[in-house]
This record gives sequence, structure tokens and C-alpha cells, in this order.
Amino acid sequence: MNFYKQAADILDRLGKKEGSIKGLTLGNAEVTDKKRMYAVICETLKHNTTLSLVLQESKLLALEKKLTRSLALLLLHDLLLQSRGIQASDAWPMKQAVMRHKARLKAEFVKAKIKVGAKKDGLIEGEDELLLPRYVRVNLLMKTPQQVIDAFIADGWTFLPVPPSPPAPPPANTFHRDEHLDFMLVFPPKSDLHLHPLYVSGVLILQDKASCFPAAILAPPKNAYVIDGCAAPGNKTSQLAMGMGNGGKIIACDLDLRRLNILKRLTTKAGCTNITALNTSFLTLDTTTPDNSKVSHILLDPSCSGSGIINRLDHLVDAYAEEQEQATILETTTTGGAAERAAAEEKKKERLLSLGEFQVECVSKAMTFPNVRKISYSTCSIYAEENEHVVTTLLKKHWPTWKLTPRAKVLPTWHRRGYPSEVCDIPGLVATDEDRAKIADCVVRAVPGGPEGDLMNGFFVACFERVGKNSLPGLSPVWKGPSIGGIKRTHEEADEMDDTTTDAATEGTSPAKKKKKNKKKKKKSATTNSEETSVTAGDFASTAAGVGGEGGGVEDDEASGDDE
Amino acid sequence: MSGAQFENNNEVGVFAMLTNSYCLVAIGGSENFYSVFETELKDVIPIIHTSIAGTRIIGRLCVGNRHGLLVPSTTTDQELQHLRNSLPSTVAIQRVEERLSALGNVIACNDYVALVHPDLDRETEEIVADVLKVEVFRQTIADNVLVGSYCALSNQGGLVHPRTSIQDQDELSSLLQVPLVAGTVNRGSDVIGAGLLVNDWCAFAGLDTTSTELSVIEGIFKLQDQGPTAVVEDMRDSLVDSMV
Repeated sequence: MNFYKQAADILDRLGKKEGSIKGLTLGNAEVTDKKRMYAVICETLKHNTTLSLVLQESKLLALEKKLTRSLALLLLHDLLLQSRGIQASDAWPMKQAVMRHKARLKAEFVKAKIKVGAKKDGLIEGEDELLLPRYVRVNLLMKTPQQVIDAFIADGWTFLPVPPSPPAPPPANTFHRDEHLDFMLVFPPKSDLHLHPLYVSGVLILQDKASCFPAAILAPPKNAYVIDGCAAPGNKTSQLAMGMGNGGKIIACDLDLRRLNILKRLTTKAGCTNITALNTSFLTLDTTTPDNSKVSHILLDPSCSGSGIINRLDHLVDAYAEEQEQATILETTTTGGAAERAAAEEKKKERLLSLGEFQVECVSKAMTFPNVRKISYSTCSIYAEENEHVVTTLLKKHWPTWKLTPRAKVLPTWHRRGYPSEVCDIPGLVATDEDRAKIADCVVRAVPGGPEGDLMNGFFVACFERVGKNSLPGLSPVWKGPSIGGIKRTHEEADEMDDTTTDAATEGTSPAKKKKKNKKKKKKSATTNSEETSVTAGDFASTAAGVGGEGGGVEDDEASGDDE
Repeated sequence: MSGAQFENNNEVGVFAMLTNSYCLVAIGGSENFYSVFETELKDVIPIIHTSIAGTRIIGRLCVGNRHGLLVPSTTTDQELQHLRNSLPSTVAIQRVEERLSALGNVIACNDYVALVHPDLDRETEEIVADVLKVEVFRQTIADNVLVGSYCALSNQGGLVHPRTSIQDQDELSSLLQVPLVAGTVNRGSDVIGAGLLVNDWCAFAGLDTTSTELSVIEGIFKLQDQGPTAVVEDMRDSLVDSMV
């Protein structure tokens, strides 16, 4: 009885979006039987549509005034879908209220099943939508992808040399490498790897492919100083550390202390040693401290509406919350609630706009760091208000100091780019449709789910880079270990980069010219300058020759950047 | 499949009631009427002569299946006692307080499912579900609320009002889980419930029923005398497969 009351309370809170299912059930200290509570809530939400239909048709709430909607849903679920029935004392008035109408409710349930065309109870809510594959990132600080692949093959998994086509999750007991990120492995949906020894030891990290994009695009070099602006729970942070081979320094900020502690735990488990966690807001960081003034790369993944995330549980909660709203609107108004619905739409739009403003503020703050060169901005949203509109607002404010990194350096093989129609006019930069298309081509989008989608969560990434300022002193030679930039490039790309690096080596003057713009070099004499630059240019030549395509990604970035 | 008349009236469903475990007939009819029933049912199920509320229209006043029998509140105590004594012990009998007291007109049922008048009391609905051990659905048939009058139902099939649309038939068929057909009885009468009595192995209609109507009834309720050839027909596919 108490159980049902607690469950009804949790449902009410979910309806008002005051938490997540897991947080309110498994993470709730007041709940004694956590697993049962979680199961009841999930199942009730899964069958919410049918149960609400039964509730409506039988007019149970109108006849039994003492029953609240959420309690009624729970009791209906247990009565209709559980063989054991409602587990409460028969003397409980709420149970009696429901049992009085047992025949009617069962009849309405059968009718609802017929309406939906379900043959068994389990299929009431329709067939499962296409499930996302389980993406796994190999922690390159500990093992190489090939070693992990061999370990799984030894475990009995079958390795597919190419991903299935047409694009689909791999079938049971098979896996393959991701075609865009070479440190990523793709497993069948619902693969449970959280007890696997490789995961427990930190070699494998369960991270969605979409959330690997920002760090792969930012690709800071080994000894750089990097800030992760909204870091918790830390998957992108540990990916940055992996890419930098634990060199340099990563400053991870987050306002939520509990989540920051999760970040500390996860990154320690992943073997990252170059991360400093700060419990502050990114917007309040002082750009003049010695550490912060050395920062050259910033990764920003600010709060967004989360509209791209596919999480079945969230879907259920959203559907339930919306229905609650509709139901209360219908109950409290006489005109059918059209005005209230419109008001709710307005609120949603306002919320998106305010999120967009916050996101612009974050990136603008990032641009104030004295030595920052590259900023990666990403959201897990599908709305243009948080994506293309934010990018165009930023370009309007900060161009020509800042520009968008072109497609060639932002996952060139990834097919889905931004929406040109959402790119607004920018005086001096964007006027024609062709300009719009070029801008849209620089950013990366992912459409959630499949089969029309990309088999991952919805996502958006844009990379800004400072115009002109392209190098920092004291960069060490390129990381020669296992590939960490992780971005596969086509053959043409690799050739193009080789060309540009050799050009940079021969034209000793142009790097020198650009480097003079660097504030820190102003004090040095011209001769030492050219010596330095010739040394570094020479480095470029030798290292570019020594590296095949991928690992040299970062250095090549600067060299080819000179020519733009 | 037999034809009968009660005092020269073809509406046999009014004066008698038939289920799989008992049969009720009204008192005061001729021996011819009773002999029709006794030919088919003697020694198979008890045939009980009774009145309800002192009337002969027992088929329209009471409703039941092999699990139970429901009688209206106007039934006298003596009649109730007589029924209790005569019915097999597996059959529960219950008197129902209901505004719509002609239960035979407002409820149509077989051993698994019942259709009721949409305005039936909830309490009565619960009693129907408990006593008759059925799933109860509020439905109309061809937009007629008197479901008991306009359909005849057995565990094998059902016959409904001739103007029932195909859509309604499909809906009803999926609710009742039996095949349905729309047809008439007693030479075009659409009051099926009054004109036809049916259980799983036999049926009685008025003498006016045409042979076409009879063949439809026999088809839907699966009443033909099925000899060994019928078995072979039904099982032909599986037999051939197994030989091959």
C-alpha cells in the first residue's frame, strides 16, 4: 500500500519533470524495494498509452473521486498486466475502488488491445523502434584497438571486417570497427559490457559515437593546455586526455559537485593524469591566470535541450509528462485547452531561445582567453535554435577574428552536415545560398536513431578557429604512439597535407611572417626568430615525412593553416 | 436443427431458454412443444419447466450459460427455489436488481463472453462477470442497444441482426472470438434472439424459418451432422503432409 503511494508520488514528480526515472527510483534513499519500484515505474510508463485509454473509456476517475490519476495507472497496470494482481490489502479503499470496476476495466483493456491490433500483452506499445548499437571507445592510454579486438575474438565474438550495409546495428555476438573513428568499436544493441573485465579496468569506455566527435574534431596536440568547459561526467575529458597522451594539462570545470566527483572517478579509472577538476562555472574563469593564459584549445559542450538523445526511458517520461499536462488541461479548462497548449508551445520556444543565448555567452567567453586558437562547440540537440543559429550569432559578433574550421579538417568523411536553410545572413560573410551552403558544410550534424538516422544520438558540432594566429611556441614533436587523432582521412587528404608541409619547409619566410604576429615572439630578435622558425619548419618536414596521415593530423593543421 | 412452435407462435426464443448444461421451458404449452426439446435433449441435460414472475416469457427475462443463471428481481421466491432445486449443482443462480429487468433482451452471452446493453448498471455488470464467469463488453449491434434480442450466440459462432455492417461484425467477432454472420430467422425476422435457441450441438428455430436461413444457421453454429468425411475434410492438409 505504501509502495503504491510512493510509486504514485514518483510518477507525479516524473510528470513534472523533477528528475529522471533512475534518479527517483534507484537513487532514492526513501524507496525500500528499489528494483521493484524501478520495474513498476518503467512498465507503467511503457504501457501508459493503453492504460490511459482504458482509464478514459471506463471513466474510472469520474466515478471514484478518491483515486488520483497516477495511482489509478499503477493499480490498473498491476490489475491488468500482472498475473498476481494488485498486491495490497483488500481492505484498502483504493484497491476496493478499482476492484469494483474490475469487469469493466478488463473489458476496456481487451478492446484497447484489439484497437491496437496487439496479439499479446507485450506488444501493446508497438514493435520496438530500431535500437542503437552499443558504441565502445578503446582507451588508447592503456591498449591499442587491435589488442582489444583480439581480446574479444578470444572471448568468442565474431569480428566483422566491414560494417553491415545497409547501415544497421551488428547482429548478435558480432562487432566491428567504426568507419569514422578508428578507436571506436561497435557492438550489438543492448550488449551488457559493464561487468566485462576490460571495462572494469578502464580499457573500454562506454561512450556514444556522437559524443566522441567534439574531442576528435578539436584534437589538441600533446602538450597543449585545454579547457573542458562543461566537463562532467567526463567522457569527453578523458577522450581529450587520451588524444594528448596524458601530456599538457586539461582543466575540467563543472558547477555540479556530485557530477564533478563522478568525473574525477571516471577519469582516474581511465588512467588520465593531466586533468585538473574545478567546481566552478566556466563563465567565471579568470583568463589572466598563468594556466588559463596558456590555454590554446577549448571544448564546450554546454547545457542544451537534450532533444537529440535517444533514451527509451526519457521518451517514456516525456510522453507521460506531456500526457499529464494534456489531461490536466482538459480537466481544468472548458474550452478544450487550445490556449493552454499554445502557451506551452510558447514556453518551449522561449526556453530554446534562452538556451541559445547561454550557449553564445559560453563561446564568447571562450574567445576571450588570450592564447586560445580553437574552440569546439557541441550540443546533443536537433534544434537549429541551439545549433546553426548560435553559430551564426557568434560569427556575426566575432568574424573576422574568428572563423569556422573548414570541412576538410572537421570529419571530412562524415556525410551529414548542417542545414543551409538555418544559416542566417551575416554581413560580409554570408549573403548568397552558396555562402550558406559553405558555412553549413563546416559543421557536423547527426540525426538520432535509424534507419534514416545515423544510428546514434542526435548531435551537432561546430569548430571555431582564430584567423591568422596559428602556432604556439614550444610544441613538441608529434605523438608517435598509437593513433589518437583518430580521424580517418582519405588518400587525397593525406597527399594534400604532405604537399603543404613541404611547402612550409621551403618557404621559410611565410611562417616567419605569421609567427611575428604572435604576441609572445614580439620581443625576440629577427635572427633568432628565423632560426627558430627554420628549426620548427624543419621539424615539420621530417615529422610529416615520418608519419602516415593520421597521427600527424595536429601538426599538419598548423602548417596547412598558414596557407589560408 | 429442429423447428418448433409454441401455441402456433414461431418465436421459440421467447418461451424457452437453452444452454449447454440445462434448458428452461415455459409452462402452459402443448406437449408437442416439449416433445421437440425432449427428442434432442432428454437424458443429456435437464429440461426444467418454470415460470418467471408468473409469466411465460422466460426466454426474454432470464439469461445464463453453463456456469450460472441470472433472473430478474420480479422472480418470486417459489420460482427461485424451484430453479435452485432443479438446476445442476454446478450452475449458480442469482436474482439481479436491475432497472432493465428483461435480462434476456439486454444481455447476450456464451460460456466465455457476454455482450450487454450500454446502459446496464455497473453493479449488474460485475454480477454478470462473477456469476457467469465471462468477460463483459458494452456494445451495440447494428446501433441497437438490445443486444440480447438481436443476436444469438454460442461457443462456436454467432448470428447477428441482418443490418450489422461488416466493420461492426469484425469488431464484434474480435471481441467475442467467434465467427459471426448477419442473417435472419423465421422468414426474414431480424429479432434473432427471440426466434432462435442455440447451444453447442443443437438449435431450435420457428417453423417458418426458410431452408436458406436454416443452412446459414447450421453453417455458422457448426451444427451439421458431421460424419467421418467431415473429419477428413478438415484435416486433409495435415494428413497429406504427413504422408508426403
